[in-house]
Amino acid sequence: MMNTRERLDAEILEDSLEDEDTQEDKFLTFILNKEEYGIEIRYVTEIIGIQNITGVPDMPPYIKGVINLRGKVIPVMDVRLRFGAPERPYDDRTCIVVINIDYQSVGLIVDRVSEVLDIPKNEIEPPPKVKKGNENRYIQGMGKVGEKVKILLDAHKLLYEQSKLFFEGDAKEDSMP
Amino acid sequence: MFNGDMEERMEYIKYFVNDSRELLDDAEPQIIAMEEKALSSGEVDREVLNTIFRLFHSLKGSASFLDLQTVTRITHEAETLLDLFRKGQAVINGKHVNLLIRTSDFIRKILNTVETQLSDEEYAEGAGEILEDYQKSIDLITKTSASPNGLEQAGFDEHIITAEMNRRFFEEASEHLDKTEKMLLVLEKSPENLEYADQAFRSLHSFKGNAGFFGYRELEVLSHHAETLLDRIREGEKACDSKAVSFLLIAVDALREGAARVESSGKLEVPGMNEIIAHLDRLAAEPGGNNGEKVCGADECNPEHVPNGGYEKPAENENEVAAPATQILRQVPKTGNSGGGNGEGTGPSGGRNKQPLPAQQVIRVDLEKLDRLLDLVGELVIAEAMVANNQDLKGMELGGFEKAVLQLDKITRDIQEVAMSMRMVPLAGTFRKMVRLVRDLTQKESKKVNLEIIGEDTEVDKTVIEQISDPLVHLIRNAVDHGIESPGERSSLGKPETGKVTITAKHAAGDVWIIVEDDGKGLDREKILRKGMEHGLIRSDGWDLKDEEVWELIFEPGFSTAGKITSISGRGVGMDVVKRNIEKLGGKVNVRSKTGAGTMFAVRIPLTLAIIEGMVVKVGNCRYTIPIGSIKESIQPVADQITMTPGDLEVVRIRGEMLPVVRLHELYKVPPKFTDLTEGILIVVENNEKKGCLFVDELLGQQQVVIKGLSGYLGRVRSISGCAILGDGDVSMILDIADLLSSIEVGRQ
Repeated sequence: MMNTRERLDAEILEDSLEDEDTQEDKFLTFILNKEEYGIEIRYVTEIIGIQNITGVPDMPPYIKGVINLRGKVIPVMDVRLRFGAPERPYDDRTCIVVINIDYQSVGLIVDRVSEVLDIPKNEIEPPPKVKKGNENRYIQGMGKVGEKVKILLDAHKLLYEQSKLFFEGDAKEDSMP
Repeated sequence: MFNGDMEERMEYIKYFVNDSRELLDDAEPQIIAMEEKALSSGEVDREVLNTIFRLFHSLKGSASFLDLQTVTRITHEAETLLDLFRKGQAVINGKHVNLLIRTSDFIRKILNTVETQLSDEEYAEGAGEILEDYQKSIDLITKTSASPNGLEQAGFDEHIITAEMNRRFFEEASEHLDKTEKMLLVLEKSPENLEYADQAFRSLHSFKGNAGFFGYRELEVLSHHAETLLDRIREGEKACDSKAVSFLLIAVDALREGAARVESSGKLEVPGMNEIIAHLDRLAAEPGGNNGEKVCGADECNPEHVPNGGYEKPAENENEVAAPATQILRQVPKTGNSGGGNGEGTGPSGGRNKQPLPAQQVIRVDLEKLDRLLDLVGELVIAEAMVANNQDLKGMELGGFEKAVLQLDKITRDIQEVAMSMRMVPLAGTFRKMVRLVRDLTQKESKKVNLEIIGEDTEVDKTVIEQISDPLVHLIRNAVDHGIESPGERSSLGKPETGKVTITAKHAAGDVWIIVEDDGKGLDREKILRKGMEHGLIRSDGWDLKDEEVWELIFEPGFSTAGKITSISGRGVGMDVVKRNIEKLGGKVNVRSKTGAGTMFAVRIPLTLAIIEGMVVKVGNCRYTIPIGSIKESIQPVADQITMTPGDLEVVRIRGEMLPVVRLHELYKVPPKFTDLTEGILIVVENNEKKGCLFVDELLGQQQVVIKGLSGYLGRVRSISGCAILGDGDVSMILDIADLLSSIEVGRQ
């Protein structure tokens, strides 16, 4: 009995390892304000063109609203605005990168998507320590690809850092004296 | 005992764990109910006792089948103890009840492990304590019992066999025999599938156990012999031919008849038993394989031959005796007091078993599949709207088409309704857990509390059930711990010593309301305000705050008014978690409280995934959906009707009523087409007798919309209850009218 179970466990483990193998070190890169960024491919579920966005009240400017993704309503974030970069009208190259973290799907609006890159760990430098601007918080590391450097984003921080304060502060203010 | 391969075992364990949890869920409230009865009247309800006994017995049966020895041992002890009560050798007391409940908890713990580990070995030691306690309780009873040798006797004294017990035994016996029979019949059709043999064996085994317990020796012996044969078959040691099945069926019939005689006349006799046993034994002793024919002479082994003579002669009573053995029709002998279902024949393929436990005809479906179906139905509704309202059809004469669309619409709604109802589960299970909770709490705090449950049949979506439990536990804890006073305090206040906590569930206007009420001391305004100031939640001393606003403070994180921290509540993590969890479900919680009279928490949860009729309105470029249910009318006001109050509030007079105006474009900061009230449309909305007007640019029309939760990432949004996907695929926000209206109220003060 135990043997079978161990065998099962091993199989599952192997499977997930295999998955990890194919996804590890892979990043989806996209262009934002002429700079190239990367996000771990394991978070990315799909890439779609820009859609009709329905605004949601009381959101910070970088939350543009929600879209209908095949019957699912998901929020979309303009990453430019998240970084404090100037807004830019959407065009036919504007993409929504749909990522999924902790069962939460969120669309990231980027100028355009470029490619999927292999960036091994030893080619990734820690983010610069300089405290210039707040936007460095979302950076997970700097990936070197040949001569170029890609800014690798921490998807989790991109979604949640600092946003909490804002979201929790809303409705209560009305009911409180 | 179990020989299946690994996957099968996993499958069985899965069912076992699920079933056992259900059994325990059933057992717990019964145990508590029994205790209450015993405490109040000093009597034990035999029927309840029997039910509990049976629950543990079923558990034991399944556990031993799966070779879960710890569970088997524990349930066996519980059974033994309960048996003593059944025999009337002792009266159940609180200590026993605690032990039983501890057992239930322990088994639950084991189940959690079994679910993943497929074994309960690691609990073998941990069970020692419980087993010891059982031993002590049992010893105590048997030693002090008036008839010390009562236990040794196989049966028990005549006077203890009540008519009720007989009936129960009979009911259950026929149930087990029916199952055995059914399994034997399918087994005959596919003899290679030994699982059927196994199931037949299990049912027969249960019957044997019961017969043994009741002391019906003959029945026990016969079923034992049949069981032995079945055991060899299911082990693959004996080929399963139609002869073996025939004899087994004969045995089953004989058992049924025997049970019927016991039931009607109290006489224990099984017609032709010895002959049947002889044949069964001979078959069982055969060296297996297909050579059954050789050993057994055609004459004496002809199944039709032997037993008929034995028991087809009707006994002295006028009962209808079972049909000839080869014709396997179930016939329940008519007896005076055996309740309904007499003489109901079921075909050989087996009809429904009538079971005392709430077992319906159900299949288990993966929740994921259900969700997928619901998603698809949602899409279907949208697609249907897209077809029916298609722009290309504008201005065309389409009589036939419209009829067809109408038909499609009706079917779509029906599908939707069915799909939705599949996920709906009654709250009963969740509420029953509260019975247990209240009992534990009152014991710990030596308070007296009566829990009343109203509307436990109210159905809500499964996801709601899963998530409502924790908040409810908190609310009930609070009610008992903070709300209800100690008996002494209560009687000095002129209240009945026993406090009352009520949980009510009901449907109202597309929402589910769950209301937790207590008749305790109520919230303490002064204390809350003091705490509020200490925590910096309010700026002043709050003398000007309305009660409702004060009560809201208890939902703040880290807020707790309990003077001393008790073991169960008072750490101040409760209420904010309650509020957050309920909001996660898109719900709301309101408090009402009156000093000295009690507190009421009303939780309002939307039926998730619901589909509503909505009015789609336009403001600037945005479209909002307003639930039709809350719309009274819509008007285009004339200048005379509009008044501006000094507080900058616009009020519209409609038929003598003064209604406040909410400009949606201001509320949601969207540039509108019209800013003059007389140019746009005012929609009069109502909720809970509060009325107001929403100012919008135009009405776009009424349609059915699928409610989608606003992403959890966005948190709760002011006065928005969710989203709807419109016919053209765009998303529209659904306005939460109740919230909207109450926000004007606050603004008005």
